[in-house]
Amino acid sequence: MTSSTSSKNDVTDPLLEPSLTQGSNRIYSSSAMFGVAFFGGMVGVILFAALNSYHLKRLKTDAIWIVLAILLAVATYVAFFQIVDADQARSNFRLVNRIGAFALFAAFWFLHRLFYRSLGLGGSEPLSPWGAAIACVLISMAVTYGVVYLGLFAGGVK
Amino acid sequence: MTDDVDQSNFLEDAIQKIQFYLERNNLQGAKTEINKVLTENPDNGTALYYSAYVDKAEDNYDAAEATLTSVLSSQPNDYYAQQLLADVYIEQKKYAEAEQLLIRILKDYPDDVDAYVDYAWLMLETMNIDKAMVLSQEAIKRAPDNQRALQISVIGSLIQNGVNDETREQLQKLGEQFPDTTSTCMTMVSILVEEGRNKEAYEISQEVLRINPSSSSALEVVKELKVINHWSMTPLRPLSKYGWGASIAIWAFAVIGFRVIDKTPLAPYSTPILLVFLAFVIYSWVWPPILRKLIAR
Repeated sequence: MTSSTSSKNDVTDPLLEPSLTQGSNRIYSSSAMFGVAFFGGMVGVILFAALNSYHLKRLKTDAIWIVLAILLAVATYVAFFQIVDADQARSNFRLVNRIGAFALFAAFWFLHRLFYRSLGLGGSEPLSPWGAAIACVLISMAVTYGVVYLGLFAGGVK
Repeated sequence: MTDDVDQSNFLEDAIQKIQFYLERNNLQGAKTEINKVLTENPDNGTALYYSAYVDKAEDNYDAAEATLTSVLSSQPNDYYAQQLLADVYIEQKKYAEAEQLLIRILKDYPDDVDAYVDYAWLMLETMNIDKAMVLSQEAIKRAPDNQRALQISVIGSLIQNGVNDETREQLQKLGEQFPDTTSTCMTMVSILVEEGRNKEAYEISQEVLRINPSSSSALEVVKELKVINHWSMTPLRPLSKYGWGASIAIWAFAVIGFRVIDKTPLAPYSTPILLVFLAFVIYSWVWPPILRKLIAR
């Protein structure tokens, strides 16, 4: 085939603008996010989902949902320590945190559902999750302990 | 003069032999002929192209890249070398480099359907679904019966909308146009798995493997579906059908269910129920990987 057989595409076609100069879109698998939700709680899921948005290069698009998730987590923690008695708070906090994490997991899975479906159908490979998942769980545990400490000992509990 | 004619005949003959071997997937035979040509003419572009082609077929991507880069340094507009190098870059996961080459080909050959299709696949693989769909439509506009373009369109539609009437209709059309091809069947398998119809998916994938026994992707799919459809996996069916929803339900049962059981007439049986539950959870973790290894043998 020679270029003389067809006219050259001199007009700048937006379709022919490169999309991968900043690297390709990647995402951690939903199994990894489920693990982070289970072990890390709400803060872990938010961090992990934000990392997914970063790797998908849609941090700006998803920023509103990440902020809403943070507000939801803060509201849940504040409401929990307002409603629950101090003696029950410690045992029930993990449960509430995990239920909230599963709700956020479902919400972020829905937000990124096209990309998760791509993993199975489009031949894309997920990112290795270990480092990011462990970091998110550890940060989440530290924040959670901080929240419990504040809630129990800094006058948050009624 | 006679030497030139002899040389030309030798090259023509050798290239025909290389093509003959490659058409029959005889890489060793092709390699022998390629080496003969390269011994006589180390800079022969066609032989170098076929050498890179064989390297790619044998998964020697770095060697293929080096050869094609040297071909393109002397013949920068060689269409076939550019196309093959783009394929090699995709295999090496050098997606940005592959994209640059495909864009270059499309700028030089704006009606090249293969380049549109390759670019659409690349976009699909790198999760740029919208762009993959537009590119596949561009390919279909130029070649309405292009199987790969139609397939990308079905997969893209499946990713964007899930399994619905439109996807089923598109797949049916694809099946009618290309009933016996591996890729059509594998797309069908993907849709059946999405719908949780694993048994039918397994039967089709077995058929695909029978038709095309050298397909490693079909073999992997058959192995995975054999695991999912094994009789010992029956208790775990809800987990594979409802995915994370089922896992969350199990956790909710463990945390909330047992608290409730203690306040019902079933309270005396809570320990055996707990043991059965724990056995189920351990079974769901441990058995599938063991079965996968047993089936892989």
